[in-house]
Amino acid sequence: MIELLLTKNVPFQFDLCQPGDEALSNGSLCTPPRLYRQEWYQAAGPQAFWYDYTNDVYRLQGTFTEVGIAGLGNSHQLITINPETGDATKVGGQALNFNNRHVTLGSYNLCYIYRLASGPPASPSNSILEVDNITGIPSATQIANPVAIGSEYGSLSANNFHINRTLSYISITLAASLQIWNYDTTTLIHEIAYPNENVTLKTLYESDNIAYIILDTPVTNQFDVVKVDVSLGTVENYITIQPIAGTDNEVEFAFDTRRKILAVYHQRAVNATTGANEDVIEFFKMIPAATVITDPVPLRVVRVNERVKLISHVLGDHGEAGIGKIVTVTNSGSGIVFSPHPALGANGSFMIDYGAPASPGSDTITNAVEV
Amino acid sequence: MLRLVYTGTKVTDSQATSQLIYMPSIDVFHGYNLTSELDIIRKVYRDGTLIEMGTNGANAEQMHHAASVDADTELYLWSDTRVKAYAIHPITWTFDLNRPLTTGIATGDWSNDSVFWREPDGTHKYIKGFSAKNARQFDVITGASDGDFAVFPSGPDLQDFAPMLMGGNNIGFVASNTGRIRVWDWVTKVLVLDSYVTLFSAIAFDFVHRNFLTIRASDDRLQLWEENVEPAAVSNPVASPGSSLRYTAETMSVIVTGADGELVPDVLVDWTVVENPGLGPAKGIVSPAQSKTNGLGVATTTYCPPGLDWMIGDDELITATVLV
Repeated sequence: MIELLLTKNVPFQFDLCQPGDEALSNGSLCTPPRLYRQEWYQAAGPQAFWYDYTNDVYRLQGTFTEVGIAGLGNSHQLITINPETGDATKVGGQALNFNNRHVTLGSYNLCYIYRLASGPPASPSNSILEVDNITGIPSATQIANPVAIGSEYGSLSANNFHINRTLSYISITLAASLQIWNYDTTTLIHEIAYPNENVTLKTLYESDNIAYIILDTPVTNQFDVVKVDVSLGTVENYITIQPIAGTDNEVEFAFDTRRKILAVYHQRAVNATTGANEDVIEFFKMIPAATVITDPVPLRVVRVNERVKLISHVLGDHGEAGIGKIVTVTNSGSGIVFSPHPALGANGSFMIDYGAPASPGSDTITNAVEV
Repeated sequence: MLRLVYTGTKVTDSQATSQLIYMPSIDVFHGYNLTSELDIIRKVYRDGTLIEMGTNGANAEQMHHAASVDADTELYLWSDTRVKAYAIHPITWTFDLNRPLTTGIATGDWSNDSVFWREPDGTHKYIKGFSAKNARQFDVITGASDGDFAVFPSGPDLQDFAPMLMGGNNIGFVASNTGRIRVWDWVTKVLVLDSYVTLFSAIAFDFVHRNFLTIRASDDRLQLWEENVEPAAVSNPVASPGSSLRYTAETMSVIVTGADGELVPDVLVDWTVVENPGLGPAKGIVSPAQSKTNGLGVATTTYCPPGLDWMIGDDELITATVLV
């Protein structure tokens, strides 16, 4: 018997609630459901969502409809979103060329695109280009050519990538692995295999060394976030975030390198009654939260009048250690719990020192952990 | 039979877990289905909590047999199709396909009936079991081996014959069709333990807390076992020299055995002496009144018979009792 106080599937903690947000908060997750004041909504899913460090705005690229201009408003445009106020502004411009999508932040906090086809300004197709942060215009300077890099495996698309210009590394996600190439020498440096076959949604830049890979993992029916050190070729963490809400048409991800938070943009249908835009952004700190506490299990046979060790764990949703939590152990029988607040080990385990009753019978030991 | 600590939850799966590996650094058992090409990877906790790591899906060709772990928490995996071994991250189950483990072991000597580990001197070792009930130890880097040694006697213990790490120099070999466990010191080739558990579909040894975890074959329930044999029988006490003389101490000894005839070490034996029923209190004494069995399952005490008050017709009964 065990008392489970934790709510599952709350993987990240959050503390970016803004004053006046009327945010929902439970201590572990806070979701500010911002309704954008601009009178527009998305008629089709966004093609790209990224954080522009230079201008400190989120940029959202997609096809939007302007309310009140019925029949005229469908166009491919760029919207900027102020991360502090939630105000959204239509920018427009050359970056809205449909062929220039899959924009992401990268080295030097600059923006890069993977261009699907040639187009103005003159530039090679199927290549990674630097984007002017102010105008949104791609430069003609090719950073890397993922088609050439991927020749070993045939034509390799680069819908998601991470650019490390210090080491000349480009990291490209495939269905079940991440390939890290030196784009100067076109040498494969690492190929990190995931335990699942996934649908890769986005590669996010935190620094030249750290990338977050967002995966849609069918086996768990959730999004997974893989934290990768691309210079070492090691995976530091593998965390789950919640599945798409039923009202979502599409979800996009961006990493805010200034605030070190993950921004998740939910594109939703307009309100059927009012026609209002109901898109929201959620923000998450990249800290795994404890979601599981296991039942106590004795390590030796429990005998009358003897002390025995029992073991339990506080865990995240992929088995990460739940560290720094206060655990409370109680019992309802005549045995004695000698360690009512056992310390958590580095692997999330804790030992319960239990004294069995003086006569045969049963006892119920209950674990609880602060949320 | 080993001593059963706990029978827990049924591990409810759409697919069976055919192999367990203990990971000391994160104190968890990794379970996967060997028969379907590592189709399911999960963390298995002692109370039955399962944390899914995922299926292998289209990646099946990359991740196959012979997952193993060493005391430094490294986890290795052998790929049949790539014919290479890889180091696996124990929490994320990711690995770098571009950095296989360097090894001199011939391809034909890799199999799923094997374990890897790293010695304190930094060398990597590998032990493979053979269907002829032999095992062979290799140096992973050089591929050098030190020859076969027999780990099971001839007889029925053959199915799913597989080794597992036990800590120190000990390697356990198990046979799922009989539930038999034989633990060997792989350096001295000395048999350390020979006992049984209930028939299982998967087994691993927690070499930090010294427990076996099994998945019971009959109903998929987790079972936790001590590495100690459950005492099942105590022999009648034997007196030495057995002269039955006044003032002549006798060394009393018993042998404690398990259900499968194993000699049971380190169990407490309580000694009592009474006069045969109805004839009054005992006149002799036993000292100590409690003793522990040695490595051969033998416990001893000393019986001091009465002196001048030991009369003709006196009869004393010495009893050895084991607490279970």
